[in-house]
This record gives sequence, C-alpha cells and structure tokens, in this order.
Amino acid sequence: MSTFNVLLPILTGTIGGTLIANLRKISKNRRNTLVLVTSVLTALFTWRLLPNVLGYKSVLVGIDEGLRPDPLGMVFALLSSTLWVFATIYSFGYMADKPRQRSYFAYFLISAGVTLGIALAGNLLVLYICYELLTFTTYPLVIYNRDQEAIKAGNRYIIYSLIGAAFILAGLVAVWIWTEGNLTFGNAPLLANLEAKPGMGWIFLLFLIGFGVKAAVMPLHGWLPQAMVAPTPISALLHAVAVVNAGVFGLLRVIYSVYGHSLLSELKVGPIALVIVSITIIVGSLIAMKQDVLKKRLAYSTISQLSYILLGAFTLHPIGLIGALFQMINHGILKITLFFSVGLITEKTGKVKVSDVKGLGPSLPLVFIAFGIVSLGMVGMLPLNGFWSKYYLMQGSTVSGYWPLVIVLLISGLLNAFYYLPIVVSAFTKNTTNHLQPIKLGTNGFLMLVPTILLVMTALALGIWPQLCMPLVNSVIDYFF
Amino acid sequence: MTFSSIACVGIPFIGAGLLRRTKSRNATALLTWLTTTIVFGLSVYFFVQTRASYPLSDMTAAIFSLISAFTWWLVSFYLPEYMKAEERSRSFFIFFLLTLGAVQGIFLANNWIVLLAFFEIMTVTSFFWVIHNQNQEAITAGYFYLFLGIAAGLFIAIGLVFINSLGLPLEIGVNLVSLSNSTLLSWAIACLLIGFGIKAGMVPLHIWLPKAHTVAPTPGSALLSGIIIKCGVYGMIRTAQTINLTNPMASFPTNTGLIVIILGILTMLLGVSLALLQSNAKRLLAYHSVSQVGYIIIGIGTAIYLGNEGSYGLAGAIYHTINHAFFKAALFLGTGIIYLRTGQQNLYKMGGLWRKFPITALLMLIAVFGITGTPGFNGYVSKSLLHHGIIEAAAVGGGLLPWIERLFNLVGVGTTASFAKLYYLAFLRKADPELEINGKENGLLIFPLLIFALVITFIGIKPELFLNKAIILALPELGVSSINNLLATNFWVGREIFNMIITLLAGISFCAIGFRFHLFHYQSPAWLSIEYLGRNFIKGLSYLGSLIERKYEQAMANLSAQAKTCYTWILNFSSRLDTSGWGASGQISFSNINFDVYLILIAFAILLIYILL
Repeated sequence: MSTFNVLLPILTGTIGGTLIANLRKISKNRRNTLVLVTSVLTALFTWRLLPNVLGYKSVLVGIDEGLRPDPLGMVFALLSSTLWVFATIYSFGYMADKPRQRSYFAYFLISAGVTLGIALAGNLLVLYICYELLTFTTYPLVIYNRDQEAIKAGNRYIIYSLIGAAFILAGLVAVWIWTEGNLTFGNAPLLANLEAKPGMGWIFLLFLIGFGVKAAVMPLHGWLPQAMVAPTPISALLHAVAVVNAGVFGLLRVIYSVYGHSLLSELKVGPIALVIVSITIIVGSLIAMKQDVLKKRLAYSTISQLSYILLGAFTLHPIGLIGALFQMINHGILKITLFFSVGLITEKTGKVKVSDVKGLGPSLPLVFIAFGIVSLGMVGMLPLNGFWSKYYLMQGSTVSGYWPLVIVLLISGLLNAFYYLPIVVSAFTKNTTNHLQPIKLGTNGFLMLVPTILLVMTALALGIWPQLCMPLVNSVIDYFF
Repeated sequence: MTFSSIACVGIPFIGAGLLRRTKSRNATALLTWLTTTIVFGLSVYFFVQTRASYPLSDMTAAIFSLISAFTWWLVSFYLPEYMKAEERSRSFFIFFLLTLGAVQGIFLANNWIVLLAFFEIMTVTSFFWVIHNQNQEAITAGYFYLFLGIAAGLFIAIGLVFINSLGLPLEIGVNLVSLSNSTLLSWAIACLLIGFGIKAGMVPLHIWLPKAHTVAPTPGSALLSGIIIKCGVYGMIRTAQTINLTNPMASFPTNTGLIVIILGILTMLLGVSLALLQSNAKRLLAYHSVSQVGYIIIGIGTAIYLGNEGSYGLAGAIYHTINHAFFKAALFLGTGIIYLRTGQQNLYKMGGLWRKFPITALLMLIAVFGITGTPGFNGYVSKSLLHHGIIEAAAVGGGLLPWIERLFNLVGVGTTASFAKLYYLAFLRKADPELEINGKENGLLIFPLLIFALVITFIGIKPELFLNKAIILALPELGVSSINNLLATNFWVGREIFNMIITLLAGISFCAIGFRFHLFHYQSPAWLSIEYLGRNFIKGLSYLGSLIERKYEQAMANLSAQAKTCYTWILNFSSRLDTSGWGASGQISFSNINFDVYLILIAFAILLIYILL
C-alpha cells in the first residue's frame, strides 16, 4: 500500500476543514454539501484501508513509518470515521438555525482528520502530537456557545488535557531512552526485549494518568460532565466516541504496543489498574443515578462505560481484549444514539431534564422508542450489541482469573438499568401538564431522526450477528497475541 | 428447528406488526384471535410431529409450547371483551402478541443464547402489561418487574459466560456435569438457577410477582401467572438437565438438589402464609402463584437430588406446571369477570356473588378444587406425584427431608384455607349492600373458563393419558431414564385420597378458625419486607453517588485554590529576586544578583562540570 493511501483520510478531513474555514462567501447549501462530501470521503478512504490490514495483518509502511495502520488502529479509525458521517448528517439538522456554522463545521472536520491521525499513527511521537492537536481542534467546539459556562468548561477541558499530555510526554521520553530512540509500533511491543525494571511500572502510571484524562478515568473525569455545554452532536461524537476513545485508544496502544501484555503482567500493574477501573465503573454509574440533566446523566454513564474497555484491556487476556474492542465499537454506536435522541428531545421540546420528560413519549414516539431500545442495549440485553461486549468482558475476566470483575459488571449493568430505563418509562406515562400532540419534526428534525434510526438498526444488527465485527477483532488478537 | 417451530415464533411478531394498522376495535380483536389460533394450530402440529419423530426430538419444548399456545388462545377470547373497559387497548394487544412470540421462542430455542434473547424480549414486552394502567402503583410494580427481570437476564448471562469459559457447548440439553467437574461449573449452575428463579418467583426473589400480578389487567395477570413465570420454571428444568441426572447420588447433584428443595419449601411456605393475609383477590392469587411455583421447584429439586430415580419429582414438576397454568389462569379470569362487572378487587367488599354470576361461581369452584388438590381434579394428580417424589427423597436422604414432607402437607392445608376464605368471602356469604353490579356474565368471558374447567376435570379423571402420552416421553431426554415405576402409577390409592381429604378438611376448619379469631388481618411491619430493603438500598446507592460527586467537586475546587496560591507565591518570590538592586551598590554580592544571572551562572556551572568530567 502506498504512503499516500494512508495519508488520504487524514488529509481529506483536515484540508476539507481548512477549506470550509476560508470559504466565507459560500451559500449554506453548498457548504453543507462540501462538508458531507468531505466526511463521506474520509470514511470511504478509511474503509479502503481495511482489506490490506486484514490481509497482511502487519507491516504497512506509511510516511517513514509515522503512519501505519494496524488492526487495532483500524478499529478506532473505522468506528470514528463512520460515526462521523452520521454525526455530520445530524449536525445539518441540529445546526440549521444556529450561528457560527462556518467555524463549527471547519473544526468538526479538522477534528475528524486529527482523530484518524491518532488511530493510524505509526509511532508514539505521532500519536502524542495528534493527541495534543485533538485537544486544540476540539476546544473551539466545546466553547461553541461562547457564554460564561462554556468558557469555564473549555478552560477546565484544556487544563486537564494539557496537564495529562505533559505526563504522556514524560512517559514518552522515558520509553525513548529505554529503546534508544525507537518509538515505532510493530508486531512486537517496543519494550519487549527489555528486562522488567521497577521504574517501568511508574512510567506506566504516567501514561495511565496522561491518557486517563481523556479516557475519563476517575478521578481525572472532571472535565467531561462540564463539557456537556457543547452542542449535542459534539457531545455525541466527541464526548462519547472520538475524544474519549482517543484516550482509551492511547492506553490500549501503551498496553499492547509499547509495553506488551507479557511485560505488563510481569510488572503486576494489572490488578492495581483493574481496581481503579472498577471503581470508575461503579462510582460513575452511582453518580449518574442522581443527575437530573439528561446530558450529564449520559456523561457519567460514558465515564462508567469507557472504563469497561480498560477493564477488558487490563485483563491482559485475548478474550478480555475482544471484549474491550467490542465494547469500544458497541458503546460508541449506542452512546452516540442516546445523545442523538436527547438532542432531538431538547431541540423539539426544550426539555433538558429527566424530571421534565414525563409524558413526552407520545409526542415524539420514534425518538423515545429509539432511546428505550438503545438503553436496553446499554444495560446489556439481547438482542442488542451491548450484550456481546458484556459477554466477552465477563468471559475475559473469568478466564484470566479476575472473577470479581464479573460482579462489578453485574452491578454496573443493574445500575445502568436504574438510571436509563426510568427516563423512557416516565416519558410514556400519563402527565397532564405536557401537551400530547405529536410534534412535527420538519426537515431539520428528519435530518436528525434518520441517523438515529439507522444507528438503532445497526445496534440491533450487530446484536443479532456479532460475527460481523469478528474478522477485524480477531486480527487484532492475532496481531498482539 | 423445523418450519412449524420457526412459524410459532415468527407469526405473533408479524401479527403484532399488522396490529398497528388495524382500523377498528373489532378488527384488532379478530386479528389477535386469528394469530393466536394459527399459533395454537401450529404448536399442536409441532407437538404431533415431535411425538411422531420421538425419541429424536425434544418433547419438553413441545409440551411447553403447546400449553402456552393453548392458554394464549383461550385468553384471546376473553381479552377483547375485558379490554373494552381499559384505555389504550391496542397497545395491550400488540404486547400480548409480542410476548406470545417471545415465550414460544424461549420454549423452542435449542441454544442458550437464543433462549436468553427471547427471555429478555419477553421481560420487556410483558413489562408493558404490568404498567398498562400507568398509575403510581402500576409504575412501581413495573419497575420491580423490569429491574428484577434484567437482573435475571444478567445472572443467566453470567452463567452462560462461565459455561463458555470452561469451553463447554452452549447447546440446550447437554449434560455439562459429565464434561467437567470444575467449581466454576457449579457457580454457573447457581447463576442459572438464580436467574430463572427470579422469573419463576423463587424466594427471596419473588418480590416482583405479587405486585405485578395485582396491577396488570386481568388477562395479563392470568398469563403472567399461567405462563410467564413458567418460563423461569422451564429454565430451571433445563438447568437441571445440565446436571448429570443419570449418575445417582454423586455429591454435586445431591447438594444442589437439597438446596433447591429447601428453596422450594421456603417458597411454598412464604407464598401460602402471605396469601392467607391478603384481602385483595388478585394479590391473594398472586401469592398462591409463589407457593405453587414452590411445589414445582420442590419437584425439580427432588429430581436433581435423586438423579436417575427422580422420575416422580420431575414428572410432577412438569405436570404441575401445566395444571397450575390451567387452574390459575381460570381463577384469574374469573376474578377478572367480577372486577369487570363490580369494579371491586377487595374480598371483604364482595359477597353473595353466586347469585349474579352462577356460571362463574361454578367454574371457579372447579378451579379451586384443582388448586387445592381435591381428588378428581388436576391438582390432585400432580400434587400426589410431587408428594411421592418427596417421600422417596426422604426415604433415601433422611435428615431434613422427612420434615420437608410434613411442611409440604402443611402448605396444602394453608392453600385450602385461603381458597376457602376467597370462595366464602366472594361468593357464599351474604351480599354486601354497597356492592354495585353493572352487567352480567358474557359468553366470550365464560368460554375460556369453561374450557379450562373441562380440562381441569378431564385431567383429574384421566390423569394417565397426558402423563403417558407426553410427560413420560420427555423424561429420558431430561436425564431421568428409570420410568417404569411412573408408568405403573396408580393415582387412586386409598391412602393418598384419604390424606388429601384430611388436608382439605383441616384447611376448611383452619379457615373457619381464622374467621372466628380474625387471624387474616395481621399486618407485618414494613421494615420486615424485602421490598423496603430494596427501595432503601437503591436510595442509599444514589445518595452515595451524589455524595461522591460533591466531594470530588469540593476536592477539585480546593486543589485549584491551592494551585492558585502556589502560583502567586512563586510569582512573588521570583519577582522579588528580579527586582533586587543590581548595580545599585556597585559590587557583586550573593544577595543582590538578578534572577536571570542566577540562571546563567547555574547553566554555566553545569556546562563546566559536564565538560570537565
């Protein structure tokens, strides 16, 4: 595969975004067409890399190995670039009557390119640079509202992220010293040939803190609920899929490409990390139960669900990793759908709180049904895809010997039910204060509804045929184990 | 997977889809009836086909599928008439059919994952029956039903994960214990039993059951009690199948069996003693569902305990599942008729109803005979099988088991007492003058009751027919192959009949004593109930969550204040260094060098040391 092919999706996003930023006089329709074309092309170019990754499993040379798609990177790249298309369509509906669309779409597309940069990065330095860039390109999207609250949230986001990145840089330097300048990811982990030193555990802690900020591992999660002031498509895509998964992906890279599972199990960081992750899972869900603002409830749920991925990864077992990858894919699809539905509810009725949605179900039936189905998926019920991630995570924890994690997953599943299902149930119960006429969705509402419904169908399809994800997931396992 | 089994599952879903488009109430009712009729026909066909290809095919599945389709078909006569009084009847019809499809899916699945998928669908669709009235009580009951149903699904999932982690197959009907003796497998079986036990209403996980049965529209309660909780029973039978039943008296099955028997007797005792205290007719019936499921669980327990010799227990469990479906559905439907015409569920406000509802009174009396185990009616048959099972277990095991046999008889007394109470209060005693009666019995409402009563009597008179033609065929594939005793069972033994009559008389006299001394009005304190515990547990959890969030925000605010102080201090310190009077005194001393000179000097010093070394 030529260098250019790997660079293409990244360039499409960034160049498209830059172009939009500079086209001041273009009409709205033309700009939207350009945005759609760019994001579809980005996704297509990413999908085009898939056969090669599946076929050769390894060694795909990019620009001086700065870019190098391997199966793990492909999972993240495919997930984010595909969901970007859905979010783009949704944004057309959501942003239709809102100001500052040019800057919104410009940064939206640039972030797509940068996220793909993280996914396809071939060495730790490129990964680090793209990770930093992602903070800066998404910052304008977080402060989109430009009011006091948004600025405050933006400040928090940027301070948390930059401090985290400093930790990563420190870790990077340490790895650089140990490997004598070799930071390129390959089939074998970077530190594979070295003997385990006690310092390695501490350096791993630096990485954990650094990437843990974006992965919202407690207690580094503080920025995420605040960042919910952003427009809903941004919360949906960035704060449920791309940005937070960038943190998780970074950690997966560090675990499997830098340290390697055998070195990490020698260092015995697994159990400690698993404790932190389990606390995040349970406490995140507990806090979510008390949240009245819909988006904040979803944000805390994200905090909890992201740690599922880390839980699977830290079992350092192939089946655990399968669970982690399934969870990355399934949680991305489910959570973005939940945010989309919440955005529709808020746009069409003006309600932002759980206590206000009572009786709204008959007005927006499809939206609430979508929300209900997807929340069942979050709980982990068949025939939705969420079941399979739980299934493999539980199996991974059992097989690797960390059986108490099964209890953590059980409790968390129940807590998910406690805070998601009452929203739908109360929406479909009688309430005399809310009006019961069906609300007309209009063109904009339709643009928001279509991606939501499509994603619900995807969730169902992946639940009934989980083997659809299997070729790619299996090649990740083959690659690392 | 044959064509008819797939159609049994698929047709209700298609029917439910079509129901969205129907124009009138009658069309909705007709379509629903048509769908259930087709499914019933198909399941009869499937049953016949299965019997024809025996022993290659799965008899247990065919029996359960047939019974559920039959009950659904009968309820679909009753449903349109009853739902005239309720709002949003269309949505109830839709979920009625969806649940039928899901239940058929559970019974016909040949793989645990597929079974679990339909189990989850069933939980969700039948949840809408429970919350149909949408008042506060219904919503609370619905949450209990839904959350415990989800917990059940999660436990089953964990059980399957454990089984799969051992590398064992997830096909239904595999003897897992013979393939592995890992402790993980016993945990898997425990998880499966807990999961299905929740759905079956096993103590202490029964708390959803009385609530849900009481608030659902009556056809819903009849099916919840008749079939839905039997999905849990079915799962428990299938779990028993994974334990190697043909290998008698191995330690693992024996221990498991004993635990299941004890859970069963607790379920019976708790159900029946709480039933005695109820004044709401539907709640009373609901607590009897708990206690009757206890009988079934005991049967499964003795089968596991005795292994290959446990044919009485297992056959009794399956038989009682079927019989309970008939008489409990009939009882609920009868109560539904009274509720429909009087608006009353409180037994103490009814009375003298046999004058206004003579046919209902007669048919309900037959159902009461069924549930109390009166000889000549179906309950007697399965209860005597179960009793036989527990006697055999007691003969082999000793220890606790003889006591369990005595408690078993005691529960029979309690059952009789509480049904004597129900029947007396509702039908026999003098009419309450304040009771308003609007309308009469109705052919469509009576028809299903009539059929149920006929079946109850028929099974009671000819018990061997269904036992020999269907249930016994199911036993070998479930792992119990010694069935010769069972084939020769004589139900008309004088001692058994005498025993039952004593139980009945004791029950009636207990009821009379209860009325005389007002024993039926005792209210147990709220803090004793598991529900109270559960609710406070959830409250406590969410309080804990908010506490942690508050503390975290406080800590972050503190941290940022500390950081600010630190920053100010460093700034002040360095600016003090910077503004020292360089050049004012004209000579270099250590105290008045500029800050940047410090830096340069240190850098030079490091460089110097580096070069020199």
